[in-house]
Amino acid sequence: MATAEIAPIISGTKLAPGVQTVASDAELKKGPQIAPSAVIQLQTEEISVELSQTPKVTVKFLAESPTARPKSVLFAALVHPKLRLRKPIPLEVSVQEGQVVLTWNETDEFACGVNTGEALDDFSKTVCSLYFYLNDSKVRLGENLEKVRRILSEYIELRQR
Amino acid sequence: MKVHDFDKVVTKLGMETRDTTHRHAWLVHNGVTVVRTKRSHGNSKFIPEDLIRKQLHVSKDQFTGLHSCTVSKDDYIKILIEKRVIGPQAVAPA
Repeated sequence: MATAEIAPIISGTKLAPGVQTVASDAELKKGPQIAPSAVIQLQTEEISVELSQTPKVTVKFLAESPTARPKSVLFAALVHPKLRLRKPIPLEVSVQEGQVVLTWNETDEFACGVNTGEALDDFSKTVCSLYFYLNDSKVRLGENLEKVRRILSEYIELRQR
Repeated sequence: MKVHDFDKVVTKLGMETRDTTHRHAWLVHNGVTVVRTKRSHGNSKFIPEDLIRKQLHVSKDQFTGLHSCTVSKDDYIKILIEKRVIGPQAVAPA
């Protein structure tokens, strides 16, 4: 809920309503002249309404409370001394059972956390482990995981020293 | 999804595991790694079942069968062959 504070009035002068103008010397001799206040006229009209039936009141509830959390993020916070990102990884953000879940649909990889920051940290660790396993020369990969390795290599590379 | 259910499936399928910041599990069939999945450490950690199923390439019923013993490892391998997750290179020669 937004809150606002009213600035305190330090000093002020109560002025008469209307527009004041700077008087000329001639006018000052005549004394101060203040423009008359504008007269606002309110016109009211009474309308009688007879209700033939009970009025329907529709109340709409929000399906989910408004949140500042985006539905997708571009991940560019890879934390590993040997790896660097070539380009940001697009992640979908969702909430399941109170946990933030990040999903990289292209590779079916995911990460979880109690908040977005923790989930992003988890994703960084996950994707680093995955990169090293899939690029291990001793490991033979099936077609599906070979595809994942290729996609990973589009986004992540070894740092050159 | 409970940690116990995840570990039950991993053990049943004879997946290779490695503990780092997560428990990573890999299904190696005839020397070829065909499936991978993972979970966070800790019994209270959340495991999104739908995403684990996606990584394992199984439907909800098939996954339920995996941890309730109605789907065996052989059945699972057949599912992976049907879905072409296991290709010719990973199928044992006759």
